[in-house]
Amino acid sequence: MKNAGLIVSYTILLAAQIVLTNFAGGSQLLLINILPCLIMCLPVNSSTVKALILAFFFGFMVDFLGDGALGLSSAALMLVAVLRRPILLLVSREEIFSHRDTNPTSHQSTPKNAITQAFAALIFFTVYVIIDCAGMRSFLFCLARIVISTAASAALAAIVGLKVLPKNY
Amino acid sequence: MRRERNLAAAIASAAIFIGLEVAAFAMIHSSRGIEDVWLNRFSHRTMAALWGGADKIGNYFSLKEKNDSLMKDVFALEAENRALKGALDSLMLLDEIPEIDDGFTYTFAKIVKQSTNSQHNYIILNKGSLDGVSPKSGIVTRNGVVGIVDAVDKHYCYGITFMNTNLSVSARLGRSGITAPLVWDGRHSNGALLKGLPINQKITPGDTLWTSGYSSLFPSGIPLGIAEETTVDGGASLDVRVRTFEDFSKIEFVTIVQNVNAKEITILESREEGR
Repeated sequence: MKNAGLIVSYTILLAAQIVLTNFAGGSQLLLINILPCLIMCLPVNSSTVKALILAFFFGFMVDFLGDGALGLSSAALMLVAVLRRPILLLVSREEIFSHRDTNPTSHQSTPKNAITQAFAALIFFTVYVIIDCAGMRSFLFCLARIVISTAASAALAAIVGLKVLPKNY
Repeated sequence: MRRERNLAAAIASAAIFIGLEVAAFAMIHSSRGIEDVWLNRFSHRTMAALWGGADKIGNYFSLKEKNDSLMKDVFALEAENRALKGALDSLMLLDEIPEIDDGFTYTFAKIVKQSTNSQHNYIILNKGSLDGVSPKSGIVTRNGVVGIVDAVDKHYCYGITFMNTNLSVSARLGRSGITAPLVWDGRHSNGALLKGLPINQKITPGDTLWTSGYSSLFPSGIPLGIAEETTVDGGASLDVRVRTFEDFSKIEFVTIVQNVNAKEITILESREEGR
C-alpha cells in the first residue's frame, strides 16, 4: 500500500497527541500540540481540501478524547491547513512543490523547518488561545500563552518533522 | 483550462473551509455551556468509559498507597471526633444536639478524570444515575466548591469545574459579610477572584470566604478561601484576589451534593420567568 507509512505514522502521532493532552500536565501558559506539524508534514502535493478535512478530523479526535471543548482544535487547525501552501511557499520558495509525494520538511534545512513549524504553531495557538480565552482574560495573559506554547510546540514539531516522520511516504 | 481548474479548486477549498469552520464553531458553542446536546453526551460517555477503564487499572496498582493514605485520614478523623465529643460532653450538650437536615443529600465520589490546562475544564466522577446522581448537582470537598454536574450516565457523571470560565459561585465574605460572585482567576489551580464589590467596601486581607447558600446547588457555610489584595476594576467596582483552600489540580475525592428541593425550586423559578 502506497500510503501505509503515512497512515501508520500519523495514527501513532495522533494517539501520542491524545495521550499528551490527557496526561502531560503542562499549565495554563504552556500547551503542547503537534497537530500543526502533522498538517505541515502532509505530502507536498496534498490538496488544501484534503488538508482541511484531515485538520478537522485530527482536531475533533483530540478534543473528543482529550481536554478541549469540542471544535476548538479543529477551528484552529483548519486555518493552518488553509495557510499550509502559502507558508511552505514563503519559507522554501516554489522549488519545494517539485518534490511531490514526500514530506516537505525533508527538503528543508533545519532552520527552515523550524521556521515552518513556528509559523504553523503560531497560527494554531493564536486562534486556539483567542477562542479559548474569548474576552475573559487579559491581553498580556493571552500573549504569554501564545508565545510560550508556540515556542515549546514548534521545538517539538521540528524534531517530529525531521526525525520521527518518514522522508518519503 | 488550467486557470479555470485552479479557480474551481480555490472555490471548493474556500467552501469547505467555511463549512467546516462553521461546524467547529457550532460545536464550541454547544460544548461551552451546560447544554444537553447529543454530541456532548456521546463525548462525555466515551470519555467516562475510556478514562474510567484506565482509572480502574491505575487504581489496582496503587491500592496499597491509597489504603495507607485512607488509614491516616481515618485515624485523624477519629482523633478529631473523640476530641469534639469530649468537648461537647464536658459542656453536657451531647444529648441536646438536634439532628441536622440542611436539605441536601451527599454522595461520596472519586475523580476518574479531570482537565486543568484549558480555560473550560471538566471533571468525570465514578458515580452515576444508578447511585442517585442527577444533573445540576453540586460537587464539593470539605475545602471548597469543585464544580457542577452537567451530564449523568449509569455509572459516571460529567461536570464543569470551578476552573471554567462558565462557573461562578455565590460567596460570602466572612460569616455575615457581603455576598458576591467568586470566579476562577484563569491562571492558578488555587486562585480565584471575588468580583464586583462596591468600591467603598472595606476588605481585610485574611478574611475567609464561605458559600452564601443563595444558590440551590451548594449548601451554605462551605469554606472557599482567604481574601488577599484588592484591585479596582475599571474604576467602578472592586475585585478581591482569593487564595482557595482547595488546590483543584490535586484533588482525588469529592462529594456530590443534591438539593432535595431542587425540582420545587426549578418549577418556582420557571413559573416566575414565565410571567
